[in-house]
Amino acid sequence: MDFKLTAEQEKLRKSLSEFCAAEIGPRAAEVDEKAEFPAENWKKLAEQGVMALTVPEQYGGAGKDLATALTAISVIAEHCASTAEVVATSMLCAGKAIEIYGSEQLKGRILPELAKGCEIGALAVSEPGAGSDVSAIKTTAEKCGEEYILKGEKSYITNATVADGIVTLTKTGDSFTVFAAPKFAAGICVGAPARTLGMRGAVAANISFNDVNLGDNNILGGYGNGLAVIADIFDYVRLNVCAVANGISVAAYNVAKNHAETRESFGKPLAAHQIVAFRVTDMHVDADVSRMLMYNAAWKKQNGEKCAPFVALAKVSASDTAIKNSDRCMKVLASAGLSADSPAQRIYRDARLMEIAGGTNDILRQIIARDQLEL
Amino acid sequence: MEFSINEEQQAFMKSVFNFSKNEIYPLMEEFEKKGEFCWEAWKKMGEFGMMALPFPEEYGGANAGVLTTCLGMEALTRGGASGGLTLSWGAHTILCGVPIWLIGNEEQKKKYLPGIASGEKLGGFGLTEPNAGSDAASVQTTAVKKGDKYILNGTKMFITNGPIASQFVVIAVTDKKAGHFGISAFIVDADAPGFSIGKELDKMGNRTSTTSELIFEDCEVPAANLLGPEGMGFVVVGKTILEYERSCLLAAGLGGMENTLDESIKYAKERVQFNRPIAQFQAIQEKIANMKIAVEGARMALYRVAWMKDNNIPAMLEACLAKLFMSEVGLKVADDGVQIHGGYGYMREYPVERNYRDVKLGTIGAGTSEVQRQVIGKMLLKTKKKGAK
Repeated sequence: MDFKLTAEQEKLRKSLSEFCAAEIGPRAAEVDEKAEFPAENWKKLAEQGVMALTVPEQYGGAGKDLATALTAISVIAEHCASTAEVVATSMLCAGKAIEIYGSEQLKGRILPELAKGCEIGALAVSEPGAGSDVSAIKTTAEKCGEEYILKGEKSYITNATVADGIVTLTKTGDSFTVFAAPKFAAGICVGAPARTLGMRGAVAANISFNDVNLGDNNILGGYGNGLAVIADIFDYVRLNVCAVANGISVAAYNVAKNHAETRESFGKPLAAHQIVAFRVTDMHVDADVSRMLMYNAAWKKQNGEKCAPFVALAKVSASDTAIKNSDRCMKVLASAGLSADSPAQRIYRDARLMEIAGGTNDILRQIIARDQLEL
Repeated sequence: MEFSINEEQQAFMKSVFNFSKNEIYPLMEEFEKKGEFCWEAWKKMGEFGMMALPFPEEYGGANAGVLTTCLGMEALTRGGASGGLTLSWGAHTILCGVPIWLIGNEEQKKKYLPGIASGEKLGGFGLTEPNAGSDAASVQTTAVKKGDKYILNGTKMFITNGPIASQFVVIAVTDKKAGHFGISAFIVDADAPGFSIGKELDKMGNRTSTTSELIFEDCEVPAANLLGPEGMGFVVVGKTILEYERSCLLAAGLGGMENTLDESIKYAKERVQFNRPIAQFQAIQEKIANMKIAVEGARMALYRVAWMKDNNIPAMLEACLAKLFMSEVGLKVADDGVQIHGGYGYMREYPVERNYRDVKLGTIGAGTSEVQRQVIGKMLLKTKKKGAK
């Protein structure tokens, strides 16, 4: 048992915190307002080596473990949740799929580019008619000689507008198969950016595959193994949501704490009023417990233990807390929180995606319960 | 980070769980109904070594460490030991035994610890008074030194094991003017002249532990029974036991939550309504999921405190956090457990009914939730005006 970060992780957390406070945080409002991919933030974080964290060393990465990557994503999310989301989507969702299930050739070509931040990845599973119910997808990949022809539409795909490669789940007859499709493949068409409540910098759009030709080399994890591959990748997706959500919870706490300590009412700081102090205290308590649940789930994943229910419960806890904390933050800031100039309202809007992304909390609760009830 | 429990600890938990399920649980219903302490269960726990867990071997202890002690208590409650029995264990082992172990001099340790570690000399702890609960420093019981004795006067309230303990660690004022630093700790034997037990208190839950007032009327305590330096009792005892109290004592709370979850899962799978087990209904599944999330969160908070204590890392904030989080989510878990059981959950023969009543003490005992928030908030927030010192 050991509840602390390693010295190396702690060092990274500290230096990245300082970096983000100086470089990422100040741009968060602008990222939100423009509702565009935060290219400047991406570039700067790539220079810091963030995109390379989980990529194996032989492919130009740093070969760090999951806990290190989640620590970094949480820190970024404390300053700009949208930026954290685009980084995590590329590094942990698409990147892990390529790293674990890609052919040697695919890995050799893509991973070094992802590590440098020169290429951006996306993961496309949801469709207009299939979200949590993954096996209801309608996108097909039909085998024609040596090639596969992809047809269908994916919706709400983060990074769709900027991605160089898209990892996607298709139906192949009675089975499912995961493909990595290069963005330049003919027939891939990206729709208009979705106008969203929050997380506006993590731009999402629909992607349609109109007779896109791909080869065997584009298959991840073997023909017909799509559901198992995607189940494994979903653990990473959910852990990435945990990390972003926990960052949001801490951001909400920091904003509320700062306001409570500096704003005075009835001749004393808000923090000296018991109800406010208790509310801010509860924000810390819930964020802290959710953070431990994330590391616990990540540790199980890293060690190949059965982890899906633990990942699910960490995700539910983290996202519920993000929403709760963003709400508490608004209460502490009162009118000041409503202002478009306040980070509180952005945090409040950003938090909402967390209970939806990576499987809604409703579906994740079912995963937890089915495991408990052996259904 | 590393979240594993080693094989030895896993085996230990399993053996405690089986012991509790087979030897302790069958005794609980009868004593719960009577609202009586179960000496038979206590003796068995002593023989099994549950009271010896945290203490050094030279005093009859098992030197198990905080985490292993927690795991043991978690397994004991999960196996079906009642909240009352584990509360008695806590008052005895943690509140009476630990301060004697960590603050006591060699003579005191030799005299008291072996009996505590074996469970033969039941212990208790007297801090709370009719007018001093959360505001613990406002105790009014006095201790005046007279020759080689201290004379104690006052009343202690809500004292677990009060009617049956052999010795108590008691907090009393030795110098009223010195505030926090005028409060001392004593070991008071139950046969001390001038010591008596007030009326036994009838409680909502934890009914297999007995609770009463302690009355001190010119009670004579040998000066040799002063625990720690005079005037430092409140500070030293507080510091020593608080983190233990908010780890080892909480472990039984975690086990109780797990017991409720286990029972609810079992019931949901067996109970058929509308032609199917109720486990197949989404509303029941959601409750089960929420219970599991609460259990795992509580486990993290608890194990962290235990790990910190085993590694000599100060854990006051984390201990208060664990206590606050666990007791608050515990209420909801207990409530969901009864709700899943429906009418049967309202009946005394079902463990979830007992758990529901037992769990409420969590947000009150050892500092209310409000006091925990107060302590944590003080550590987190600056409450002084700008420029003020």
